[in-house]
Amino acid sequence: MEMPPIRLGGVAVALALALCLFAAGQAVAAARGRSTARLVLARNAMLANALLVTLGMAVLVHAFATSDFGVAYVARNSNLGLPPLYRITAAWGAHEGSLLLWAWYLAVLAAAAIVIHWRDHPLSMPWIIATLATVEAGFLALIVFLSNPFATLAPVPADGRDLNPLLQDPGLAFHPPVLYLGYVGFAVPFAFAVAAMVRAHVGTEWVAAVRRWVLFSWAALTSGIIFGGYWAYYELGWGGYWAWDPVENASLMPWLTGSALMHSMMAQDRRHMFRLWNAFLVVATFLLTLLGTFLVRSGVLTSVHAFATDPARGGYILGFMALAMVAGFGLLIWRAEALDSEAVVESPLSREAGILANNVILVVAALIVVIGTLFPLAVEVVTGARISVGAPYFNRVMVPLMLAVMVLMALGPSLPWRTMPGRRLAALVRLPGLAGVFAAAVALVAGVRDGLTLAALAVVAFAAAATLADLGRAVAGRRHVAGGGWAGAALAALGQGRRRMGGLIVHLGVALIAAGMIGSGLFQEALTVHLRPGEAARIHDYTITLRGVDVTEGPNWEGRRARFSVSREGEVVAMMMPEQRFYAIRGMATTETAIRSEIAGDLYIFFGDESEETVVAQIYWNPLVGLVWLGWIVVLGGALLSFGERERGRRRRPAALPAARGAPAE
Amino acid sequence: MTTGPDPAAVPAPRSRLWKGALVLAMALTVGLLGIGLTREASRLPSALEGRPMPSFDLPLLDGEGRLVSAEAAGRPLILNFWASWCVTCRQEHPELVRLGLRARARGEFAIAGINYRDDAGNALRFLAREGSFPYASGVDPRGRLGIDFGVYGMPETFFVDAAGIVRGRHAGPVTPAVLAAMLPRIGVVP
Repeated sequence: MEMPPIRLGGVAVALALALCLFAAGQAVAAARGRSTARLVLARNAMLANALLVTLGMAVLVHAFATSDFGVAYVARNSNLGLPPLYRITAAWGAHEGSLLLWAWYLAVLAAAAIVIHWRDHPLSMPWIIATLATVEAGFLALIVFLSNPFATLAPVPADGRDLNPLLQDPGLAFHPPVLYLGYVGFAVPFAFAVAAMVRAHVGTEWVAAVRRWVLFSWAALTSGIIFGGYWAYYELGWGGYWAWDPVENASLMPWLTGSALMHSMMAQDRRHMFRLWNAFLVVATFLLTLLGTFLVRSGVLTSVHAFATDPARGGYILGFMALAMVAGFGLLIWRAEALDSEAVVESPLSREAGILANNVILVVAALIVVIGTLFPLAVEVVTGARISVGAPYFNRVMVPLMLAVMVLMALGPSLPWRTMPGRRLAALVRLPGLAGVFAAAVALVAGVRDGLTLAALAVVAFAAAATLADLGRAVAGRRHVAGGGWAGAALAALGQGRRRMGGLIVHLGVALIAAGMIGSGLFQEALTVHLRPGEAARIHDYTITLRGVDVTEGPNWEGRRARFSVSREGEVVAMMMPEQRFYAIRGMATTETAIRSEIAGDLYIFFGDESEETVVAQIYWNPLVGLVWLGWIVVLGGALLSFGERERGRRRRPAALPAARGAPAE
Repeated sequence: MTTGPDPAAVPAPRSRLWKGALVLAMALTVGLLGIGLTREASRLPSALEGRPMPSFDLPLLDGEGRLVSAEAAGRPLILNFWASWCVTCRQEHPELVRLGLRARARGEFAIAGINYRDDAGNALRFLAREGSFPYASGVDPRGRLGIDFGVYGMPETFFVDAAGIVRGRHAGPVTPAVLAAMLPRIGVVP
């Protein structure tokens, strides 16, 4: 029988749904009957599921690549004039396709998790498979029944309705896919936590096993958030990267709890503490990723990101989330007594006390974002009013909290487990403290008067200095032991203590990002100018001259382009050409800002209105923005190094493991 | 299912507390989101309704001069609180511009904006991007006037009649439907 390729995609995804349900059933049966045969069956079903969803994704991308407008979703979101890159990225440019991307990630990550941990976690494996299969089935059912990207159109239109112009940008090629990777990655730790809770398994193995999954998801989420910030920075023309939009907040919530989780897992691994708390954080982080999905897709909140809304889909996702909530938190409540830790924090000057403080602050911050995001909805439900809770609320509350976290970030790695004498802390704090005071003093002399800004500068300098000092001490210690040069010692230190050094490097990257954010906000220069051709404006040490305005056009848009020459000390250093584009098919206008990046900062030109020879342009000098991207690369490097650490569990298993109170050790 | 240690130990009161709080938080969140899915936008009564409008004297957002409440006396006044950080404000922007053009053309009522808890640079950028209002905006950077009016979210719009009495308050974007309901209260034909 001849089957059109698009039909193949639909069939593959429907089959994948059936396989997931089958796998979940078999896995639960395997756990109850201790049947290896059923477990193998469940595993194979999940592996086949990964292949089928991959096929479905490939079919959809192929339909976009070949502009198959017989597919309704392609016709709605693509166009013959669309440049080749966006013809591919358009596949996840709207609701249906982005859900399929999500399900595909989950299928592949679930298969990878099952294969990687198959040998090491035989007793938890049935529950891990059952959880992953159920979550995947939940998403596949939404795709098959309510958001089918493979639906066809009866008279095939000659051309498509084009991709949302805001999404026709290289940033879109990275922002959602990387962000989703972070969201989906947290499903694996969730599955391990569910398995540990169902089995009332009190050991630390599951925490050791999911460390890398958490690290991976956290790094992806961080990257996704930063790409999103960059996209907002240069495509949306806000001149800023973070607007506290509900959908941006949706990605921040799991990031905050995920950051807390990465730290508290360390305490469970080393000291068997925070068991219940870790389970709570894993469940909460996963649920927050589902909440994010719900907020974006249900249209319950007003947002610049809102996807086309449909009450049935919103209701479905809400039901799914409620189910996951009852299962996750229900298990937590049911098993709380079994998971409670016996160890307690012995001293306020200890690593565990630092981690506790870090966790409290990060979770409070997450709660503040959740409440701030849902508050307008609560007001609307209770009083019927529609309001926005805006940046002033969030900035006022979040900045001090994040500064407190950065102080802990600076001190935490130097604190030993259990306890330390106060004198040693004083010695540790001396040098970074001086750096902080120095930074604040320089800013004060430079004319900064805002107390919060001064505090922020001091804290960032403190954190950077403390982290550098920690790194320096590690390298010096290695050199002291092994002798040799500094470079060799540095390499040896990085190779030996990957987890610790990786963590320190991530901290350094965070300090750089914070410095970039504060610097760009503090020293930003902004101008709104009305220029005729030949007239010039000055910003920072640049002279910017309007040379003219041209008509320009692309494959699916036409526009106006302003030509500015940028000169410094009388010499032309660059031409910058911001544009205004009009995408005729969607009837939407977009602005393309022109950005010239240097080490010292970004020159940013936004082309506004035009009237009788006069051009209105906004020109910004955004200093130190480069530090944000540099910090991001440092964070990724640190995460990668930490990822390379060998699992502790593998080395000491099985003899060193206590057979925890009758529970079978894995 | 494998058996672990017996979880059914007697729960401590502290543990009962957090369990209860967790269950409550779950129920509230799901309930809220559920109602949110089915809700409809509507209006909000104000404690100010039927009372005289609080007076104000604010610097203008752009240029010299001040926005003074007494200058509107004798004419109905529409007062819109807005901010550049408010996403919903972008939605209502075209409707306000239309309303301002009508006020300017016919003079049957006055309209003014209050730029609320905002940074002047951001506010001007917002106007450059969305289009300027055809009327003046005063600035209330610390939200003092907002307290007098009982503003708690953005955007909010107050409808004041010719005698200076507040006749209506709308929280949320101004739409033709809102105007159809509110304008007759201050003696203006919608």
